[in-house]
Amino acid sequence: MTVVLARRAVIVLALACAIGFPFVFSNPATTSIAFFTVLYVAAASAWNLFSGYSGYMALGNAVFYGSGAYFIANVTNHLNLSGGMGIFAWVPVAGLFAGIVAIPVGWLALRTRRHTFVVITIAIFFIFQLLAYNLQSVTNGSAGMQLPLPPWLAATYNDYFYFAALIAAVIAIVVSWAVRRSHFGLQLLAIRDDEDRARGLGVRTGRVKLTAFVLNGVLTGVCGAIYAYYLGSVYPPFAFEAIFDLTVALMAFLGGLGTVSGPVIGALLLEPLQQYLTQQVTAAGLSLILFGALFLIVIGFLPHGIVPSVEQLVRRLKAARSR
Amino acid sequence: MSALLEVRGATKSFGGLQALDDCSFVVEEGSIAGLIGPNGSGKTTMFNVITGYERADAGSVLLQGNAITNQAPGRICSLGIGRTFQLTRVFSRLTLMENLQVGRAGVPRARRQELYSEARCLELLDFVGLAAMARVSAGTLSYGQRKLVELAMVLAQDPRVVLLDEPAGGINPLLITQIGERIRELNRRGVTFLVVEHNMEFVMGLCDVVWVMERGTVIAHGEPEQVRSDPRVLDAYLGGSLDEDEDENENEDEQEEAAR
Repeated sequence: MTVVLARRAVIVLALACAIGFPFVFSNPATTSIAFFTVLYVAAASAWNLFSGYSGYMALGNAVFYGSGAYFIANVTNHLNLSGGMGIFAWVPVAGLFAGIVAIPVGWLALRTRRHTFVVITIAIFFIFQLLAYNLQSVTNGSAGMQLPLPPWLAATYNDYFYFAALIAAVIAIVVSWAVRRSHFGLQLLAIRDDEDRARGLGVRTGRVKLTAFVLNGVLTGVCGAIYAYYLGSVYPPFAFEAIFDLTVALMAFLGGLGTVSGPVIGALLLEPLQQYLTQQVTAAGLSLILFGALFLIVIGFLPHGIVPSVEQLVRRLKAARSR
Repeated sequence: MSALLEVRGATKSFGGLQALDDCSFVVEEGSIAGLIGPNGSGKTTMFNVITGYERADAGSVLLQGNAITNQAPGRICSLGIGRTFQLTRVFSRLTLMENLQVGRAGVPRARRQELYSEARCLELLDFVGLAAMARVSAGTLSYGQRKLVELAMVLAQDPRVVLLDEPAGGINPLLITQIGERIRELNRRGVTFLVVEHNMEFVMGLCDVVWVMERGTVIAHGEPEQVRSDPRVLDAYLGGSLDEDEDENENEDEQEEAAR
């Protein structure tokens, strides 16, 4: 009972902090970092919803990130929309579009397992990146696309995007939590542990996996659309960014694969660090090298992630006390 | 009694290896049938063919006279055929309770809620003596305990016939007795069993009828006493007596060699 209450208190407190943050720390340099952090909370949770729960390590999530970004760029250009809050109404639609993209991608990639699946997702990612460069009529190639400029003052510009990302993050977390508690989520976890056995118990593994994959696509597409609007432009290497593929995975790994809070904690720790490194270490690519090194350290020394490791520690302490 | 499960002329080869060769047998409704035979005689392949994990090259599998040959494992499960595995296959990172609740997705919601309710799953775990560990992840259990969890997982599906692949293999004698008791108890409640097992004492004490396989086909069947003295069966087991445990024989051989 007390545990439930404490957990609720933590959630309310965290949400209050998240909402109050841009009002307390209003410096645009800070709110920019806050925006990316919250955006990656959403993106890492989305990735974890599929890969963390099912055990299928997808390293091509930028496909949906980029699809969401290009969708909103196309819509705003074709409909001649002017900048403002109204654009945000298209963000969920961009998510749905990315979800539709995820159907054939998942159908194809999920025919394979384990390492092959990883390689296939990377390959599909590069196909999409190449398409973005070459499908001139839809993407305008390497010249990129511009989105309408919002009429907001520089001092509060980030706040609008921050709150949009925060809503996306809350939705991604709530969906992750709901899936984790559902029969559907149980089937995903069973697939992670022993897919053939799950199939033998009547789990429709193909359908379950694809559903989770598409959910992941929708949520990631939402993130991509918000990101595109924030930047004001879309270019192939930013929309379909290989670093994005790795970052969301690293965040979930660091926090704890397959847990609801893991990717949240991972994103809260890593994204500010990455943004800080990018701002401080301007030497080309050095921040990426540091980031890559961190990935190796996490996999090497904290293979289960923070949340499961802490849980294990607590359990051990409890057991020691009861003895 | 009528035939619940019937296999007619099942044939299966892996490359040059003939794993099943025109194999036929019948499991009567309400019985406990044993399936024995030397290593490599095709018992597990037979299980895989019945439960849809392997496709039969020829022959058919019938459940109450209806052909269910080569259907998907999930479909076979939903028809009421449950199975356990020789090397246990539990979901190691899920709790025991969750392991029982994975279950089939095809069943209607109301039926699902009935089958996978906490109360019913807890009852099943209690039945195999593991209710106290309902919230423990299955990966932390001993091998014998996992066998019991597998049994409970199968029972959670409310099957009509259960295929057990070496339920007594590699576990301590106390648990073997417990598993035997549980099987008999379930059989009294109307569940039919087909048991693959190397522990002869266990098979002979448990089964109503025993089918003996060798090189992918059935060479004999009958009541345990009959089978025990059948010369063909003794021959299949390399002339060894069925009463003696194979491991003991090996140990004796080693001792003799050591004595020399």
